[in-house]
Amino acid sequence: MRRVLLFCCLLAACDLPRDPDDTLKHVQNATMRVGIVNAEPWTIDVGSGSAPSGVEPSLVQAIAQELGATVEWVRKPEHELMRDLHDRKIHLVIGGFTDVLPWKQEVAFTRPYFTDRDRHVLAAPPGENAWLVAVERAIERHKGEITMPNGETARR
Amino acid sequence: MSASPLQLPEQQQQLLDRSRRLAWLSIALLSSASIFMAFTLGQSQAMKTAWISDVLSIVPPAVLLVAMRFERRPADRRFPFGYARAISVSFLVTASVLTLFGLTLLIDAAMKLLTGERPPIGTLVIAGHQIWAGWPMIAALAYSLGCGLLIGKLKEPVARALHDKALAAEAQMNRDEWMSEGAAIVGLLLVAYGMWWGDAGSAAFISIMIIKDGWSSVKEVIADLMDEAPTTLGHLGLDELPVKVAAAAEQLPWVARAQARLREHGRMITGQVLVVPRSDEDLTARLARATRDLTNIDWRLHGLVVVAVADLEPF
Repeated sequence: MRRVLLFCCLLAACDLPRDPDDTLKHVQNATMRVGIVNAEPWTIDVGSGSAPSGVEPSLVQAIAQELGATVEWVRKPEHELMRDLHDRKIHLVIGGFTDVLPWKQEVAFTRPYFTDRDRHVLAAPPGENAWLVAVERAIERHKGEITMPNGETARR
Repeated sequence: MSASPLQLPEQQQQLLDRSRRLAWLSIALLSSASIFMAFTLGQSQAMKTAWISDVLSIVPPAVLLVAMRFERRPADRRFPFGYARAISVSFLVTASVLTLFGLTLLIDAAMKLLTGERPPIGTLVIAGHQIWAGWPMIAALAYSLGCGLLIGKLKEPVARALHDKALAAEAQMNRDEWMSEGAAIVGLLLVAYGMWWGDAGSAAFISIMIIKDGWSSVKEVIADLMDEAPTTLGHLGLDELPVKVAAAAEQLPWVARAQARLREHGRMITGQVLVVPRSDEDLTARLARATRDLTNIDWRLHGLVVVAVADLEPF
C-alpha cells in the first residue's frame, strides 16, 4: 500500500493531470471568472454594485487568493452560466448546487465542500482536470474554516 | 436416441468438474475486480465501458453453471432428445446480449467523440491523501487485467480437452479482456496528459472488441442450431469425425456403403449413420452391434442411430 502511494505521489509530482485547455495556468495570477446564481443562504448576491457574500462566495475568494487570482463575478440565468461553463468561457459556477442535479451530465461537479442532507458542490468546466484537482484541493484545505449560516461548522 | 443421462468417460468427467470449479473461480475473481472498479468509477467513459465489459464477462460462467445443471438431465416425454443443447441456448443468449451491449456502448462513445464531451476526473481522498481519481482507476483496471489473464490461461487447456466451445469462447473472452483494460489505461493516461479524446476513443475501441466477441459467438452458436457438422475448436474447419465414422461403417463386411450425418449437441456429438446393407440377413442384430461399435470411436458420440436404407443420396 505504501509503495502504491509512493508511486502515485511520484506520478502526481510530474504535474499530472493536465488541462486540455490550460485553464489552471490561465487563472493563476490572473482573473478567475465565476458565475453566480442567487441561492440563499449558500450565495447572497444583491447585484453588480457590491460583492456577493455567503459560504460559497467566501470559498471562491479563498481559492482565488491561493492562486493569486482576482474574482470577476458573472451574473446570468443559471442555464446560460452552465452553457458558458460547459464551453469553458467561465471557470466556476456557484449557486447552492448539490451533486444530484442533472447538470452533472454537462459540467463537472467538485467534491462536496459541505454535507448535510445533501452534498453541496461547486460546478467546474468538464475535462479541465488540472483545474478541477486544484479547486478540489483548495476546497479540502478550506472546508474546515467554513461557518454555515446556522453557525454549524462544515465537516464531512 | 438413448434415454439415459449423458455418460462421460472418467477423464472427461474430471475435466468437467474442473471447468465447474473454474467457473466459480471466474465469478469470484471477476466480481472482486468489478467491485474494485465500481468504487473508482467516475465520469470516464473508458472506465465505464471497461467496467461493463468486466461485469459482462461474469455472465457466461454463471450461465454455464446453470446450463450444466440442465444438460445432464435424462430425456423425457417433452424433450425426447434430452437437454444437451441447454449449453447452446445459454451461449446464444449471452452472445446476443454481449453484441447489443457493445453496440450501445459504441454509440455512446462515438457521440461523446463527435460532440466533444470531455471527461471530468477529480480527486479522491484515500487514507488521508488527496489524489487524482485517475490513479486508483488505473490500479483497478490493472487488477482486473491480471484476473482476466489468469482465468483465461486456466480455462484454455480444459476447454481444449473437453472440446467445449462455450468454455473456449469464455477463455478467449477473458484473455481479450486485457486489451479492453489496457485500452482503458491508455485512455486514462491520455486524459492525464490533457488529451480528452483519449477517454472516448479508448471506450470506442473497447466497445468494438465487445461487439467482435459477441458477434463471432452469435455466428458460431447459430451454425450449431442449424445442425452444422461438427467443427474443430476455435477454427472454421470441419471435424474429421463424420468421415471416420462413415469409413468405420463401410469397413463392416455386411455394409455396402455408408454415410454419417453428425451434428453437435451441446458438448456432445449425435446424429445418424445411414448404411446400405448387402443383405437383410440378421439385420437388427447387426445394426445394434454397429451402433455400439461406432459409438465407441469417440467419447463425444452419444445417442447415435444406425439406419438401414436402400440407397444413399450423396451430399
